[in-house]
Amino acid sequence: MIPEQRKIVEAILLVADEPVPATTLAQVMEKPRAEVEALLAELADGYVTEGRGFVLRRVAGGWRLYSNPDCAPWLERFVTSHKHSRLTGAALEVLAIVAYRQPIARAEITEIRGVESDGVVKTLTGRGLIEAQEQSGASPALFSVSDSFLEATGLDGVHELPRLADFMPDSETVQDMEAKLSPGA
Amino acid sequence: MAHEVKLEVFEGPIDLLLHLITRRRVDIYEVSLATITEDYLAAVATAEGLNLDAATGFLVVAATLLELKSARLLPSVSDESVRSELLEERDFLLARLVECATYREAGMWISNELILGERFFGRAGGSIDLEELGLVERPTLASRTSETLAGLTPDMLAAAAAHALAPAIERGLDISHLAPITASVKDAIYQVAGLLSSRSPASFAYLSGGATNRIEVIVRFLALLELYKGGAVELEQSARFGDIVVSWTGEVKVSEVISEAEEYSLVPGGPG
Repeated sequence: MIPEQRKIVEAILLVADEPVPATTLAQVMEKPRAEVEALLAELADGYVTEGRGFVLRRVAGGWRLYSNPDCAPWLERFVTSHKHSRLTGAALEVLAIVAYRQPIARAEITEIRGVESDGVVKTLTGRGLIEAQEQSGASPALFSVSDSFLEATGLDGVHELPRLADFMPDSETVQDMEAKLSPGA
Repeated sequence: MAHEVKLEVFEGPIDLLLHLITRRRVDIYEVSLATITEDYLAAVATAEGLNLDAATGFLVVAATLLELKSARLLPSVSDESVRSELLEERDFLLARLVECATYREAGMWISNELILGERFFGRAGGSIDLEELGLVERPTLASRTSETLAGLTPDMLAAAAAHALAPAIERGLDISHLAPITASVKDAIYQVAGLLSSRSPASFAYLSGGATNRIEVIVRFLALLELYKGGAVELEQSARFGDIVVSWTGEVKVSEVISEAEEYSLVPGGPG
């Protein structure tokens, strides 16, 4: 790695307060994108092997410096009131549906869950985890997960979510469900 | 434990009753569902606390009995079709339960990632202020104020205040610019039916093609709903926000739909 380029990338990441796309870095540095990406990956690996107090993560389509998660307990003492209130089961369910089915209309979420979900959708929008894109004309708004959701979960994009099939209940559980549906038959 | 029922034809747990009925050992015609329900409610009222599992179990069995009985009372529906309908309903319900369980699990995964993510504190970058360093130009408050208020005299302010505080001049409500609504649902039914007679299936975009404004498109759509309600057309929309495909069933006459739609008076002051 050329020390000069490493210096520039570190300087930019130091002052950035949101993930910086590799293409932006490539433009600023006037270098091919692939070269910059290789440099970023090298930096990220380097920080881990050197055991630094910060790490470089690829999230929400860009790169951003974060504190080393090992230091979380001390940072929590340093930064007070960091912890968010936990999401309810219903909120997590809606979040999962949006993440896997985006863009999705409010009515479709309600249809999948079988219960009215407007309140939960509002809460998640308020927490900045999902966003609505207004459609033209009378078509309903469609919801997608936000960049801050991707940052909070450490995902580069929804394509990095595990396959939905991995979460399907096993055949034994399904048989149990089926048995409960047909008492006495 | 299952709820016990006491009837002339049967005495014992309610799920056994359902079992016997499906095996045709007991005729559901002889079973008074009203008595069962009343006894159950009485039992619940005297019992201490409600066992949710038992209550749910009772509801499922009672609902099934109700469905079986209503099917038995309607001679046109055969037992076989009722059973296959019940099975179909059950498959559908099971599929939905599995889907919900899947998303619940996926939600747990996301929750875990969110908790792990809380251990990372993002570099906030805010320690240098680009404006402060003079790298980004920032208009000062003074320069902004002087620009906005340039050339303003106390007299101009007084004139503006007098204008704003003066009583508003009363004017009659001018509605001459409003075009009266001339489209009627009944006319639209004839138009849509006419178009469909030469081309079916047709898209809604085609059927509302001649409409000149939004109201007319809405009225065409209402007409379509009337035709659908009357069984004259079949509707299909394969994609979200996609075009609606309309096909003529040929089972109902347009005049019948019109007479059914007679009381439709959504268009205020329209002709007809």
